[in-house]
Amino acid sequence: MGLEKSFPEFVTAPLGWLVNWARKNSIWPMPMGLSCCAIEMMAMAGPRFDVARFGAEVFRFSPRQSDVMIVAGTVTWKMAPIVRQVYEQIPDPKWVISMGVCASSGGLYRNYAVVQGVDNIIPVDFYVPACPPRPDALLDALLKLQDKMMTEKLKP
Amino acid sequence: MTDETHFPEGLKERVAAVGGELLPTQPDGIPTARVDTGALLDLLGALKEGPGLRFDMLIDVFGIDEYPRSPRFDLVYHLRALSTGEMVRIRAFAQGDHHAIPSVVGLFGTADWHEREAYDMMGIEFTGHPDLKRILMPLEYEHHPLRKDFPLEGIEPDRLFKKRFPGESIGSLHQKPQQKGQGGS
Repeated sequence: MGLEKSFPEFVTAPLGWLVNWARKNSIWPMPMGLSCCAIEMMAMAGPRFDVARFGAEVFRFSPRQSDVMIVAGTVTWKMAPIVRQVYEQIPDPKWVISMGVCASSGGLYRNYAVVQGVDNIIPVDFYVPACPPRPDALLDALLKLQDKMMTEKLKP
Repeated sequence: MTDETHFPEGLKERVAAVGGELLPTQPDGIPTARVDTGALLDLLGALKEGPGLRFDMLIDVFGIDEYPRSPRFDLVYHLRALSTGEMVRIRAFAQGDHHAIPSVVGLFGTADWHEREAYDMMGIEFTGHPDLKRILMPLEYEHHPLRKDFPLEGIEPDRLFKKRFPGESIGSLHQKPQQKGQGGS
């Protein structure tokens, strides 16, 4: 297309900014799909909502290849150790999006079996409300996460 | 209502033979009988093998918690005759401190998981069950959550998690995101 001819030979930028810029445009999410919210998460990955526009289409089912965990669904106490272990297996830096009211607060399940908010077991960066959230809402959380990634500092 | 109940062939005789009694039929129209715990296996065996209409399929086994009445747990068995589609309901109380009742796995293999669920949720001991362990809750769980005197919020629901990840207190993780923010090298 000849587009590359219009690129400059080199660019200058702070290294931290460049790393953050590269990182935010190649998010590899870990889909922690625990119940019905996972369907909306899959819809977000599909062509209609097309998360590939924002560089986060590479869903990885291995935590070791991911940097964002999307907890989509009801977290039970039986599942909690597994969620925690998967989170710990994600290499730093890592972020967590809590999708839907069940993951965020337990939702309507105020009972013995359900964790009352996944922030009881892992730290959470963004909460997406609704039951289930529309894919747009999850996209919005991803965009806000990209903004947050730009504020990260490189270690000296 | 009882007069209109249709009793399958040979049902009354088989219930009477083990000393059971017919209960008033509920609006669903399924004939219902109560038997002593000791006669449960005899009755279910007779219903399965005949004489009379053979009820050869066990639909469901579940317990009803009649707390604080005693005996506390009422076991309900639904049987269906595959040849005619007719159903029958058998009820029996679990007995003793351990809420024991004989297992029917020997007669109906499908009762295996049904009885494990009743054990998991209510703590009913099915004597003679080949592998009576929890089916829904974690194996190390200590309570029977569908009992009427079990609090809905649970008793220390995070106990097993804390055992797996000691030193974590709930709520201490909320500050963690601010501590992140290093990068590559």
